[in-house]
Amino acid sequence: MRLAAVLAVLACCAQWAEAATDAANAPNVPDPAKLELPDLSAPTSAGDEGDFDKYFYFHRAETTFEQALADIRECDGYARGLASPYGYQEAPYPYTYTMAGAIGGAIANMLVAAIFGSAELRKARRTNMRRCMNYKGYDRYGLNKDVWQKFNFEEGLNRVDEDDRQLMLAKQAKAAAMIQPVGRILGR
Amino acid sequence: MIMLMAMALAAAGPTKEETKLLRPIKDTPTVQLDLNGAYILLRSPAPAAINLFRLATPPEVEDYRARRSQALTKAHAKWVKQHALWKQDLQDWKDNPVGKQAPEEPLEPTDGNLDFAPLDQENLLGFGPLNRFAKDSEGTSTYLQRVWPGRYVLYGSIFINPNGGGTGVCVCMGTVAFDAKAGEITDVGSVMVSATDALIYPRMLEKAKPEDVEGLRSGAITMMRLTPSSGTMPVDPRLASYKIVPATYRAAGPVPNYYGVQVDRLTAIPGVLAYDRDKIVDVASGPAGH
Repeated sequence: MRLAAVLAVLACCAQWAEAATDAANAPNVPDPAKLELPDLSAPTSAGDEGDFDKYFYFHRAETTFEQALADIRECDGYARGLASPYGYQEAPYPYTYTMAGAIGGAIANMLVAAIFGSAELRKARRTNMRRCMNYKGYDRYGLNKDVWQKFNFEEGLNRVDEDDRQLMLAKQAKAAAMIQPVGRILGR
Repeated sequence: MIMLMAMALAAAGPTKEETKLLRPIKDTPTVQLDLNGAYILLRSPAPAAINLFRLATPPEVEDYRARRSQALTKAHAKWVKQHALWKQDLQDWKDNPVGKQAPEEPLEPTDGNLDFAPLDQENLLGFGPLNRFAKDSEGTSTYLQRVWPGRYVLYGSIFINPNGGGTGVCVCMGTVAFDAKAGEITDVGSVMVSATDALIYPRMLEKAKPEDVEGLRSGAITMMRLTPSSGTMPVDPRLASYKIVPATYRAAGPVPNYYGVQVDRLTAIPGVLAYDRDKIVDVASGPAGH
């Protein structure tokens, strides 16, 4: 019994060590100066406003690029269903950085998409990102679709290449932290 | 370290035989519960799927690791054979590429991409909408289920596809946990679930109760609300002779979105659960989670 207890403790510690390793393997934080963004201050039309629920960027004042990137990656992790397999733990690391989680909801959701369609999956991603970033205190500003497409992606049945995803998330983080927003604040 | 030892000494999960005893209590004229069993009782204003999962103990985590490791070994052995075949196919294609695409290299299974359900999914419980224990004159459904003693996390409202995935909502960004003890019926109170919110369906604001409109618009009212049992909620007379204890909550989360569903958080509960932006606050003791 005592041996089992010790083994269990060791397993628990190993789990935390693995978590730390995963965190160390998190995607790099790029130099924001090297990230190109389109002109987000370009005027939008009345037609654009009808699509502001789809085409927008997040922004929060007094936020560093690193913090915005961490927040956007975390919300992206929720939206794509990333999960560490070893269960809930109040560990001091963001599980969403662990690529070990690329299974779980991410794959399982393809079956749901097959039933409800790619458009529903794209909409679900948008609402998850909006809800998550709103809880983190970010405001939303509308964009023209062409401008939006230069640093954003939609995700339905087709998965986005991981390198492309991380690059676009980093650009979104730059907009969220380092750009002076223009226009009115949209609802969450 | 002492705390870790205490955690390690916690009981392992149920055996297969014991698991057979863990099931919803159905609506029958008389009810016979096991006085040594742990039970969870919860209510819902309307029939709804409500999911909880039990936190795994360290021995269960160790057992899970062993099973996962075995599955990985098996999957990798299979991949080695597939990869050898692929190499041969690739060579054949190179020798005669006319009219065919190059064969796709099979993905090597790793701990990171292994298709093996996370541990919390193994410990997930579903209450409702079926297997109702009672329904009162106002339409409130009561669910009662025998469970394995332990700490439970309110997870969401999900219709799970047996072949994978699901639809619904998780309260991944903030929730509560409570203990269910042997010999007690733990009364979780009332859980109200909404299948949508103003982000998904803005027109719901037009039909909302006036007092809820601003909360729904701002997100203060979320897709899952919990009213703790105050001890004044009516209890079915068939349970009068059993020990019923209101759940003692602590803030919990964040929790992974295991099913790739809508991500939300439990509406704040005065005295129990609050939020500082996305930080989950255990009102009694301070910030929870990471």
